[in-house]
Amino acid sequence: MNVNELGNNKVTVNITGEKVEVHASDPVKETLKKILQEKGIDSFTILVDGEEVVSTNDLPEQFADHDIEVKRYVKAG
Amino acid sequence: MIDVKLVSKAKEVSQVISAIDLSWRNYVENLKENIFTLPFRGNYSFFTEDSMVLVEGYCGPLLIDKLYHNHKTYLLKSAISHDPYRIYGMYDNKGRFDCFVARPEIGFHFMGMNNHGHSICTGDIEFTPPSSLDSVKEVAERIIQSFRVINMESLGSVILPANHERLRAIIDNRDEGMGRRVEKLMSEGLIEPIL
Repeated sequence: MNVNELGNNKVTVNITGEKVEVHASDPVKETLKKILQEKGIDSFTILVDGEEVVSTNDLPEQFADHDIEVKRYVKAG
Repeated sequence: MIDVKLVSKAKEVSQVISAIDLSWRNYVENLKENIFTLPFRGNYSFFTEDSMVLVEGYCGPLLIDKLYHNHKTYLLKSAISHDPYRIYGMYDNKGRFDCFVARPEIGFHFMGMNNHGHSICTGDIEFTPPSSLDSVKEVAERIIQSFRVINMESLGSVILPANHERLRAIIDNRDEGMGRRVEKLMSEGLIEPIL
């Protein structure tokens, strides 16, 4: 059980410093896509268990047992 | 009044004296050109290049591993890296801040070529002209972080090592729209959406 897991089978993910609750069994890719779209975050990086995602294969299927964080990037140029 | 009298009584200056005077003036002007004013006090590394002072603000790895276009972030399948990569605050010889530059010049967000190479296009990074080493370092740190993302919507001069030629050729093809270039990068397997 991950430290961020809540009693009702929910977990929190860190979205650019804000804690957001999701179901542990939610699909990571679709859920993050939806949350980021709602918040208007389009330039970002994802950390899974403290490691930055460098390939989409690094994304777990579900949130359970993982610490997931999204950090915003300032765009260059 | 005295000036008028002096001038009227003055003898024609000899050519030898004129030549000495000109030589002396040239020497002083040349000296002035080569005097550098350090932009601020402190313990820091810098070097001079032509008539500019370059103050080191960052020395470490460069990593470019993401691409942004049309509200989407993509991962580069083959990240671009270089180590050591240095970012400098550039000051003129009077100590006035001019711009930020990188050595070597690698990246996607440089301005056009000028007398001192390509300056860095700092885009959304807001800062006042750095007046201390800490402030040079602070801005350089934000630049190196932002350099990780290729912003297709604010692309500058593209300067890449030879082993990323295909990526450069597609991204820097100004004859095609940005959308088409991103499609090409996808179809050639050079990028993938992060989500």
